[in-house]
Amino acid sequence: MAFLDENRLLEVRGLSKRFGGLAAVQNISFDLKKNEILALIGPNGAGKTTTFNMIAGSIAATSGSVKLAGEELIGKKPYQIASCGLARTFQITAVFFGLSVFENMVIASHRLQKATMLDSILYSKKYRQEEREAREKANAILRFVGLEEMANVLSGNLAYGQQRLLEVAIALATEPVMLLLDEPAAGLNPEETVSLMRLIGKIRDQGITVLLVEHNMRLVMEISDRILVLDHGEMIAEGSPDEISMNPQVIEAYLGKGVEE
Amino acid sequence: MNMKKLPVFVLLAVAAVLPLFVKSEYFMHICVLAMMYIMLTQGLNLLTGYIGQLSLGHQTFLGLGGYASALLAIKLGVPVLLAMLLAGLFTVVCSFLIGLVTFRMRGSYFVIMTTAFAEIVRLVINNSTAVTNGPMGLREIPPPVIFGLIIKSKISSYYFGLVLAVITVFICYRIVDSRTGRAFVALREHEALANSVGISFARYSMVAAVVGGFFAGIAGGFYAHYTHFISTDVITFSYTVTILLMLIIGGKGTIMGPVLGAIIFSFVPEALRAVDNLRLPIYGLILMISVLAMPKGLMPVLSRAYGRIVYKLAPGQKTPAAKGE
Ligand SMILES: Nc1ncnc2c1ncn2[C@@H]1O[C@H](COP(=O)(O)OP(=O)(O)O)[C@@H](O)[C@H]1O
Ligand SMILES: [Mg+2]
Repeated sequence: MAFLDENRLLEVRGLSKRFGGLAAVQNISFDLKKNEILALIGPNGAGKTTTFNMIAGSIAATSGSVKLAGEELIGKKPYQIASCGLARTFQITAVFFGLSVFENMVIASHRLQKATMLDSILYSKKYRQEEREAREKANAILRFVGLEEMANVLSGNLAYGQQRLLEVAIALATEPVMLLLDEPAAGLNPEETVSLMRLIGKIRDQGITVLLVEHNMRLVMEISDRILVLDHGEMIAEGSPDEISMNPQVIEAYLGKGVEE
Repeated sequence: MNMKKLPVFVLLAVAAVLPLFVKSEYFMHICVLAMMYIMLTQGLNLLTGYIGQLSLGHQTFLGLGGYASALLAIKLGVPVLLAMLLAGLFTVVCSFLIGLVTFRMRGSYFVIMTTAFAEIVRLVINNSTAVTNGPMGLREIPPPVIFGLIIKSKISSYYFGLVLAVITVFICYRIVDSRTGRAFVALREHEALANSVGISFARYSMVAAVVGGFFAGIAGGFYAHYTHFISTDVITFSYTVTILLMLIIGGKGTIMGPVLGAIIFSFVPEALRAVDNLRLPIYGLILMISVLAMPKGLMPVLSRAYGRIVYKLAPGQKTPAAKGE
């Protein structure tokens, strides 16, 4: 990897998105350091999900550049971006509802497995070893997020909070360098939210950089290293949680919208 | 051997000794065709059962394989086994090219495109009279010869077909039981999430189509050299309906479901021979009833029942129901 600068694991430059006449995201630039938790916050409709989806490749940017470890992501398809080591969750819960929790996890090992179809037809050593590793890793990650008891449960039958954990577990099973989370706490009760925030801290401690999208400002104050505030598609502030909580523009954006919880 | 695989080996054993007990040539003929249908449905199952893209054009590759193999053998004198293999490779190329166009689409657009391609291929073959003999079809296609043995009788054709079918089922089973098969299922269950873990729709639909195309091509060759005749009749819609019935009623997205479906629906038309003009309406009725009664097909129902029996006889045994190991 030609990448050297750990201060710019993710480099976002001039990222913009127009939906017809609506400028959903306007000329956003920021960097993410390795091992940092950066929160992207802002009122509903601020452009957080749009920014997120442009980085993850699921919507095309109107203009701008996103580099992960020096590699340009704009123009790549979501599955290619996943292969660059960027994992994501979805704002609306996305798991393989028709499969067991364990099956969900093994699928997510996809990009790490190198055995060919011929390997599996011939039941080669490489195939068997990778299958064993995928199963072991699935179990380890389920323990890590606290879903080990649920391995054989159909994921569609999990409680909502558990499904959100499974989403994170699936993302982790791809062994990402960076994890993007879109409103992971949406719909969670206060206890679940606290344990989720703790989990995000633990994920960072594993050496994974986290970009977190959230519209609830209070939630991210505790775990974020840095916060970026969007309003009407524009970046209105950037700084530490303390700086952000005292920024008059931010307070106005939030109080003006009346979404502070 | 674990209990989970026991029924498969029993079925295989029955298939192996079947000709010893069956004296009817006609019955054997149906069994030979069942082998062709097993190859055909296994291949279609990858795309339609596992990835969930309904293809109405699969029998096209049966036709293309049949013609390719027959022409190689008749016009160029290529040994039949080699001709069949080359025909399989030819249908691989064809399904790749057709896939390049059709996999840009999803859902109903995909369905329509596959139908269109089936029709185009049928018309091209019918109109290339100089090579294909047009709607008259190709006659006097030579039988396969294996180690000097001419595969001409019903029984030898049956065993030849059985070997091909078993290889097909085994390979499909191995593919499904790997990261490739998991990628198929992931795309069916949630495409955006599958993409987000690095799985490409275009790539894996192509893999499914190409593997399915290969086995359909081999099946086509098998059919042509067995009946010594091929025409574009095999590319008609009634074949499509038949193999989809086999797939859906047997249980798409399982390995053994389409095998059972293929066996059952090889015999059903014979049972309905007396009322042949009611065949399609009766198919429709069977389809409606079975989709209502067992939406996922026969296979899940059977495997649950089998699981219960095993559990009764030997509690603690690993049964098909106890998955996710
Ligand atoms: N696919 C789309 N087509 C048109 N407008 C969209 C689309 N997606 C989002 N928008 C608009 O873009 C703006 C930003 O939306 P979004 O990024 O979802 O905000 P957030 O995630 O911050 O709540 C909103 O005004 C929204 O209505
Ligand atoms: Mg949003």
